[in-house]
Amino acid sequence: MAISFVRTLISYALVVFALRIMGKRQVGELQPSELVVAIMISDLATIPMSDPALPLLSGIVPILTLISAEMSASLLSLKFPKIRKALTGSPAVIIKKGIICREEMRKNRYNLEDLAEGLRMKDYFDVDDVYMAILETNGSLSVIPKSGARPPTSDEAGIKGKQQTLPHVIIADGKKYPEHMQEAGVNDDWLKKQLSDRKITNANEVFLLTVDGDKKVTLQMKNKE
Amino acid sequence: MAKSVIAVSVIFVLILIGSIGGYFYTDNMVKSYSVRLDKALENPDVNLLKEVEQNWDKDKNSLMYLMNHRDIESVSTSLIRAREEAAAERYDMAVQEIAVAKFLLDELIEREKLSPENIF
Repeated sequence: MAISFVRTLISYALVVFALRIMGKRQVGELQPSELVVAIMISDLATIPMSDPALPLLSGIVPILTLISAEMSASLLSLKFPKIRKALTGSPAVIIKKGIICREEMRKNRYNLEDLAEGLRMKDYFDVDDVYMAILETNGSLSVIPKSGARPPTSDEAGIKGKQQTLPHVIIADGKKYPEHMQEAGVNDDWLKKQLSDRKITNANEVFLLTVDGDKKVTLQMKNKE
Repeated sequence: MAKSVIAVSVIFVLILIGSIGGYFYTDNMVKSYSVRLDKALENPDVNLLKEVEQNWDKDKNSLMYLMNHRDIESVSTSLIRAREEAAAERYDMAVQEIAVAKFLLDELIEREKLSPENIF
Protein backbone atom coordinates (compact mmCIF):
# COMPACT_ATOMS: atom_id res chain seq x y z
CA MET A 1 0.00 0.00 0.00
CA ALA A 2 2.76 2.42 0.99
CA ILE A 3 4.50 1.63 -2.29
CA SER A 4 1.38 2.51 -4.29
CA PHE A 5 1.04 5.73 -2.28
CA VAL A 6 4.62 6.87 -2.94
CA ARG A 7 4.50 5.75 -6.58
CA THR A 8 1.24 7.64 -7.11
CA LEU A 9 2.72 10.82 -5.63
CA ILE A 10 5.80 10.56 -7.86
CA SER A 11 3.67 9.84 -10.95
CA TYR A 12 1.34 12.72 -10.08
CA ALA A 13 4.27 15.14 -9.77
CA LEU A 14 5.68 13.93 -13.07
CA VAL A 15 2.36 14.22 -14.93
CA VAL A 16 1.74 17.72 -13.56
CA PHE A 17 5.28 18.69 -14.58
CA ALA A 18 4.74 17.19 -18.03
CA LEU A 19 1.43 18.97 -18.62
CA ARG A 20 2.85 22.21 -17.22
CA ILE A 21 5.73 22.03 -19.67
CA MET A 22 3.30 21.50 -22.53
CA GLY A 23 1.91 24.98 -22.01
CA LYS A 24 -1.10 26.81 -20.73
CA ARG A 25 -3.68 25.76 -23.27
CA GLN A 26 -7.01 24.43 -22.10
CA VAL A 27 -7.79 20.81 -22.92
CA GLY A 28 -10.30 21.87 -25.59
CA GLU A 29 -7.69 24.00 -27.28
CA LEU A 30 -4.99 21.35 -27.58
CA GLN A 31 -3.41 20.76 -30.94
CA PRO A 32 -3.78 17.18 -32.22
CA SER A 33 -0.21 16.22 -31.26
CA GLU A 34 -0.61 17.76 -27.80
CA LEU A 35 -3.87 15.90 -27.21
CA VAL A 36 -2.21 12.60 -28.17
CA VAL A 37 0.72 13.31 -25.84
CA ALA A 38 -1.59 14.29 -22.95
CA ILE A 39 -3.59 11.06 -23.30
CA MET A 40 -0.44 8.94 -23.60
CA ILE A 41 1.19 10.58 -20.59
CA SER A 42 -1.83 10.02 -18.36
CA ASP A 43 -2.05 6.41 -19.51
CA LEU A 44 1.67 5.73 -19.05
CA ALA A 45 1.61 7.13 -15.53
CA THR A 46 -1.09 4.70 -14.41
CA ILE A 47 0.71 1.53 -15.56
CA PRO A 48 3.51 1.38 -12.94
CA MET A 49 1.07 2.90 -10.42
CA SER A 50 -1.31 -0.04 -10.66
CA ASP A 51 1.31 -2.77 -11.10
CA PRO A 52 3.96 -2.72 -8.36
CA ALA A 53 5.92 -5.44 -10.23
CA LEU A 54 6.87 -2.94 -12.91
CA PRO A 55 9.75 -0.58 -12.20
CA LEU A 56 8.62 3.03 -11.86
CA LEU A 57 11.23 3.89 -14.47
CA SER A 58 9.16 2.00 -17.05
CA GLY A 59 6.65 4.85 -16.72
CA ILE A 60 9.05 7.72 -16.09
CA VAL A 61 11.30 7.13 -19.12
CA PRO A 62 8.46 7.07 -21.70
CA ILE A 63 6.86 10.14 -20.11
CA LEU A 64 10.14 12.09 -20.23
CA THR A 65 10.69 10.90 -23.79
CA LEU A 66 7.22 12.12 -24.79
CA ILE A 67 7.81 15.50 -23.14
CA SER A 68 11.13 15.89 -24.96
CA ALA A 69 9.60 14.80 -28.28
CA GLU A 70 6.68 17.20 -27.83
CA MET A 71 8.97 20.06 -26.87
CA SER A 72 11.26 19.32 -29.82
CA ALA A 73 8.29 19.22 -32.16
CA SER A 74 6.96 22.56 -30.89
CA LEU A 75 10.40 24.16 -31.10
CA LEU A 76 10.81 22.90 -34.66
CA SER A 77 7.29 24.17 -35.46
CA LEU A 78 8.33 27.64 -34.34
CA LYS A 79 11.31 27.61 -36.70
CA PHE A 80 9.89 25.76 -39.68
CA PRO A 81 6.35 26.50 -40.94
CA LYS A 82 6.31 23.27 -43.00
CA ILE A 83 6.81 21.19 -39.86
CA ARG A 84 4.12 23.24 -38.10
CA LYS A 85 1.74 22.53 -40.96
CA ALA A 86 2.55 18.82 -40.90
CA LEU A 87 2.05 18.58 -37.14
CA THR A 88 -0.96 20.80 -36.60
CA GLY A 89 -2.49 21.16 -40.06
CA SER A 90 -3.77 24.49 -41.33
CA PRO A 91 -7.01 26.38 -40.66
CA ALA A 92 -9.87 25.71 -43.08
CA VAL A 93 -12.26 28.38 -44.35
CA ILE A 94 -15.71 26.83 -43.91
CA ILE A 95 -17.75 29.92 -44.81
CA LYS A 96 -16.25 32.32 -47.31
CA LYS A 97 -18.00 35.61 -48.08
CA GLY A 98 -21.22 34.20 -46.69
CA ILE A 99 -21.08 30.99 -48.76
CA ILE A 100 -20.58 27.59 -47.16
CA CYS A 101 -17.60 25.77 -48.72
CA ARG A 102 -18.78 22.18 -49.06
CA GLU A 103 -15.41 20.98 -50.31
CA GLU A 104 -13.60 22.29 -47.20
CA MET A 105 -16.28 20.76 -44.98
CA ARG A 106 -15.88 17.40 -46.73
CA LYS A 107 -12.07 17.57 -46.42
CA ASN A 108 -12.35 18.21 -42.68
CA ARG A 109 -15.22 15.75 -42.18
CA TYR A 110 -17.22 18.65 -40.76
CA ASN A 111 -20.97 18.38 -41.17
CA LEU A 112 -23.71 21.01 -41.07
CA GLU A 113 -24.66 20.11 -37.49
CA ASP A 114 -21.06 20.74 -36.42
CA LEU A 115 -21.12 24.07 -38.24
CA ALA A 116 -24.44 25.11 -36.69
CA GLU A 117 -23.16 24.12 -33.24
CA GLY A 118 -19.89 25.98 -33.73
CA LEU A 119 -21.76 29.11 -34.81
CA ARG A 120 -24.19 28.87 -31.89
CA MET A 121 -21.23 28.63 -29.52
CA LYS A 122 -20.10 31.95 -30.98
CA ASP A 123 -23.61 33.41 -30.52
CA TYR A 124 -24.56 33.34 -34.20
CA PHE A 125 -27.80 31.46 -34.68
CA ASP A 126 -28.26 32.22 -38.37
CA VAL A 127 -25.71 31.18 -40.98
CA ASP A 128 -26.82 34.21 -42.99
CA ASP A 129 -25.20 36.48 -40.35
CA VAL A 130 -21.78 35.02 -41.00
CA TYR A 131 -19.33 36.49 -43.49
CA MET A 132 -16.45 34.12 -42.76
CA ALA A 133 -16.05 31.08 -40.54
CA ILE A 134 -12.67 29.47 -40.07
CA LEU A 135 -12.14 26.04 -38.58
CA GLU A 136 -8.96 26.39 -36.53
CA THR A 137 -6.40 23.63 -36.13
CA ASN A 138 -7.52 22.97 -32.55
CA GLY A 139 -11.11 22.36 -33.72
CA SER A 140 -12.60 25.68 -32.62
CA LEU A 141 -14.51 27.93 -35.01
CA SER A 142 -13.56 31.58 -35.57
CA VAL A 143 -16.32 33.76 -36.96
CA ILE A 144 -16.35 37.10 -38.76
CA PRO A 145 -19.96 38.31 -38.90
CA LYS A 146 -21.50 40.33 -41.70
CA SER A 147 -21.33 44.06 -40.96
CA GLY A 148 -25.07 44.24 -40.31
CA ALA A 149 -25.00 41.37 -37.86
CA ARG A 150 -22.60 42.81 -35.32
CA PRO A 151 -22.79 45.76 -32.94
CA PRO A 152 -20.87 48.84 -34.13
CA THR A 153 -17.48 49.49 -32.62
CA SER A 154 -16.89 52.73 -30.70
CA ASP A 155 -14.83 54.01 -33.64
CA GLU A 156 -17.72 53.37 -36.03
CA ALA A 157 -20.11 55.05 -33.61
CA GLY A 158 -17.76 58.02 -33.35
CA ILE A 159 -17.29 57.60 -29.61
CA LYS A 160 -13.82 58.11 -28.23
CA GLY A 161 -13.53 55.21 -25.81
CA LYS A 162 -11.28 55.16 -22.82
CA GLN A 163 -8.62 52.44 -22.69
CA GLN A 164 -9.49 49.93 -20.02
CA THR A 165 -6.66 48.87 -17.74
CA LEU A 166 -6.13 45.82 -15.60
CA PRO A 167 -6.91 46.34 -11.90
CA HIS A 168 -3.99 45.41 -9.63
CA VAL A 169 -4.63 43.38 -6.48
CA ILE A 170 -2.93 45.31 -3.68
CA ILE A 171 -4.30 43.32 -0.72
CA ALA A 172 -5.81 39.84 -0.96
CA ASP A 173 -7.05 38.06 2.17
CA GLY A 174 -5.07 40.45 4.39
CA LYS A 175 -1.81 39.91 2.49
CA LYS A 176 -0.11 42.87 0.85
CA TYR A 177 1.48 42.51 -2.59
CA PRO A 178 4.38 45.00 -2.93
CA GLU A 179 5.15 43.88 -6.51
CA HIS A 180 1.58 44.71 -7.56
CA MET A 181 1.86 48.09 -5.80
CA GLN A 182 4.96 48.80 -7.83
CA GLU A 183 3.18 47.81 -11.07
CA ALA A 184 0.20 50.04 -10.17
CA GLY A 185 2.52 52.96 -9.34
CA VAL A 186 1.40 53.30 -5.73
CA ASN A 187 3.42 53.13 -2.51
CA ASP A 188 2.98 52.35 1.18
CA ASP A 189 2.06 55.96 2.00
CA TRP A 190 -0.72 55.85 -0.58
CA LEU A 191 -1.99 52.57 0.86
CA LYS A 192 -1.87 53.92 4.44
CA LYS A 193 -3.86 56.96 3.33
CA GLN A 194 -6.46 54.80 1.57
CA LEU A 195 -6.89 52.65 4.66
CA SER A 196 -6.99 55.57 7.10
CA ASP A 197 -9.53 57.40 4.87
CA ARG A 198 -11.78 54.39 5.34
CA LYS A 199 -11.00 54.15 9.06
CA ILE A 200 -9.18 50.83 8.66
CA THR A 201 -6.40 50.38 11.18
CA ASN A 202 -5.01 47.04 10.07
CA ALA A 203 -4.48 45.74 6.53
CA ASN A 204 -5.22 42.24 7.83
CA GLU A 205 -8.90 43.20 8.08
CA VAL A 206 -9.05 43.75 4.31
CA PHE A 207 -10.31 40.88 2.17
CA LEU A 208 -9.66 42.54 -1.20
CA LEU A 209 -8.26 45.86 -2.29
CA THR A 210 -7.66 46.59 -5.95
CA VAL A 211 -6.65 49.70 -7.84
CA ASP A 212 -7.06 50.34 -11.56
CA GLY A 213 -5.22 52.61 -13.98
CA ASP A 214 -7.28 55.63 -12.87
CA LYS A 215 -6.34 54.90 -9.25
CA LYS A 216 -9.94 53.90 -8.55
CA VAL A 217 -9.97 51.74 -5.44
CA THR A 218 -12.24 48.75 -4.88
CA LEU A 219 -12.31 47.44 -1.33
CA GLN A 220 -14.04 44.69 0.59
CA MET A 221 -13.52 43.92 4.24
CA LYS A 222 -13.17 40.40 5.62
CA ASN A 223 -16.13 40.76 7.98
CA LYS A 224 -18.43 41.92 5.17
CA GLU A 225 -20.35 39.03 3.62
CA MET B 1 13.70 29.45 -26.74
CA ALA B 2 17.36 28.80 -25.86
CA LYS B 3 16.29 27.55 -22.42
CA SER B 4 13.80 25.13 -23.97
CA VAL B 5 16.39 23.80 -26.41
CA ILE B 6 18.82 23.23 -23.53
CA ALA B 7 16.11 21.56 -21.41
CA VAL B 8 15.07 19.23 -24.25
CA SER B 9 18.68 18.37 -25.06
CA VAL B 10 19.48 17.65 -21.40
CA ILE B 11 16.40 15.41 -21.01
CA PHE B 12 17.23 13.55 -24.25
CA VAL B 13 20.88 13.06 -23.28
CA LEU B 14 19.94 11.90 -19.77
CA ILE B 15 17.41 9.40 -21.15
CA LEU B 16 19.94 8.15 -23.70
CA ILE B 17 22.78 7.80 -21.18
CA GLY B 18 20.42 6.24 -18.61
CA SER B 19 18.99 3.76 -21.13
CA ILE B 20 22.33 2.73 -22.61
CA GLY B 21 24.03 2.62 -19.20
CA GLY B 22 21.11 0.68 -17.74
CA TYR B 23 21.19 -1.79 -20.61
CA PHE B 24 24.92 -2.51 -20.28
CA TYR B 25 24.66 -2.72 -16.49
CA THR B 26 21.79 -5.25 -16.53
CA ASP B 27 23.33 -7.15 -19.45
CA ASN B 28 26.69 -7.59 -17.70
CA MET B 29 25.13 -8.41 -14.38
CA VAL B 30 22.65 -10.98 -15.70
CA LYS B 31 25.22 -12.55 -18.06
CA SER B 32 27.66 -13.05 -15.18
CA TYR B 33 24.99 -15.05 -13.33
CA SER B 34 24.20 -17.02 -16.46
CA VAL B 35 27.86 -18.03 -16.75
CA ARG B 36 27.95 -19.04 -13.08
CA LEU B 37 24.87 -21.19 -13.57
CA ASP B 38 26.61 -22.87 -16.53
CA LYS B 39 29.24 -24.04 -14.07
CA ALA B 40 26.54 -25.10 -11.63
CA LEU B 41 24.92 -27.17 -14.38
CA GLU B 42 28.15 -29.16 -14.76
CA ASN B 43 28.60 -29.46 -11.01
CA PRO B 44 25.40 -28.84 -8.96
CA ASP B 45 27.30 -28.24 -5.73
CA VAL B 46 25.23 -26.94 -2.82
CA ASN B 47 27.93 -24.46 -1.70
CA LEU B 48 28.26 -23.03 -5.18
CA LEU B 49 24.47 -22.64 -5.44
CA LYS B 50 24.33 -21.02 -1.99
CA GLU B 51 26.98 -18.51 -3.02
CA VAL B 52 25.15 -17.71 -6.29
CA GLU B 53 21.88 -17.28 -4.41
CA GLN B 54 23.39 -14.99 -1.77
CA ASN B 55 25.05 -12.79 -4.39
CA TRP B 56 21.86 -12.71 -6.45
CA ASP B 57 19.87 -11.57 -3.40
CA LYS B 58 22.21 -8.58 -3.05
CA ASP B 59 22.44 -7.70 -6.74
CA LYS B 60 18.76 -8.13 -7.57
CA ASN B 61 17.92 -4.96 -5.61
CA SER B 62 19.68 -2.79 -8.17
CA LEU B 63 18.13 -4.76 -11.05
CA MET B 64 14.66 -4.09 -9.62
CA TYR B 65 14.94 -0.44 -10.70
CA LEU B 66 15.29 -1.50 -14.32
CA MET B 67 13.50 -4.82 -14.77
CA ASN B 68 10.18 -6.45 -14.04
CA HIS B 69 10.16 -7.44 -10.37
CA ARG B 70 8.18 -10.61 -11.07
CA ASP B 71 10.82 -11.91 -13.52
CA ILE B 72 13.58 -11.26 -11.00
CA GLU B 73 11.64 -13.04 -8.25
CA SER B 74 11.13 -16.03 -10.56
CA VAL B 75 14.93 -16.37 -10.86
CA SER B 76 15.23 -16.14 -7.04
CA THR B 77 12.60 -18.87 -6.61
CA SER B 78 14.41 -21.18 -9.05
CA LEU B 79 17.74 -20.61 -7.31
CA ILE B 80 16.21 -21.47 -3.91
CA ARG B 81 14.64 -24.63 -5.35
CA ALA B 82 17.94 -25.66 -6.98
CA ARG B 83 19.84 -25.12 -3.72
CA GLU B 84 17.29 -27.14 -1.72
CA GLU B 85 17.33 -30.00 -4.27
CA ALA B 86 21.14 -30.05 -4.18
CA ALA B 87 21.09 -30.00 -0.35
CA ALA B 88 18.80 -33.05 -0.42
CA GLU B 89 21.24 -34.65 -2.91
CA ARG B 90 18.56 -34.83 -5.61
CA TYR B 91 21.04 -33.64 -8.21
CA ASP B 92 18.90 -34.40 -11.29
CA MET B 93 16.16 -32.13 -9.90
CA ALA B 94 18.73 -29.52 -8.95
CA VAL B 95 20.06 -29.51 -12.52
CA GLN B 96 16.51 -29.05 -13.80
CA GLU B 97 15.99 -26.02 -11.55
CA ILE B 98 19.38 -24.56 -12.49
CA ALA B 99 18.42 -24.93 -16.16
CA VAL B 100 15.14 -23.10 -15.46
CA ALA B 101 16.99 -20.29 -13.63
CA LYS B 102 19.47 -19.98 -16.49
CA PHE B 103 16.64 -19.88 -19.03
CA LEU B 104 14.93 -17.11 -17.05
CA LEU B 105 18.19 -15.13 -16.88
CA ASP B 106 18.79 -15.54 -20.62
CA GLU B 107 15.21 -14.39 -21.21
CA LEU B 108 15.88 -11.27 -19.11
CA ILE B 109 18.88 -10.45 -21.32
CA GLU B 110 16.94 -11.18 -24.51
CA ARG B 111 14.02 -8.98 -23.45
CA GLU B 112 16.26 -5.97 -22.84
CA LYS B 113 17.99 -6.16 -26.24
CA LEU B 114 17.28 -3.34 -28.68
CA SER B 115 16.14 -5.71 -31.42
CA PRO B 116 13.30 -5.47 -33.96
CA GLU B 117 11.50 -8.39 -32.28
CA ASN B 118 11.47 -6.56 -28.95
CA ILE B 119 10.50 -3.23 -30.48
CA PHE B 120 7.56 -4.47 -32.52
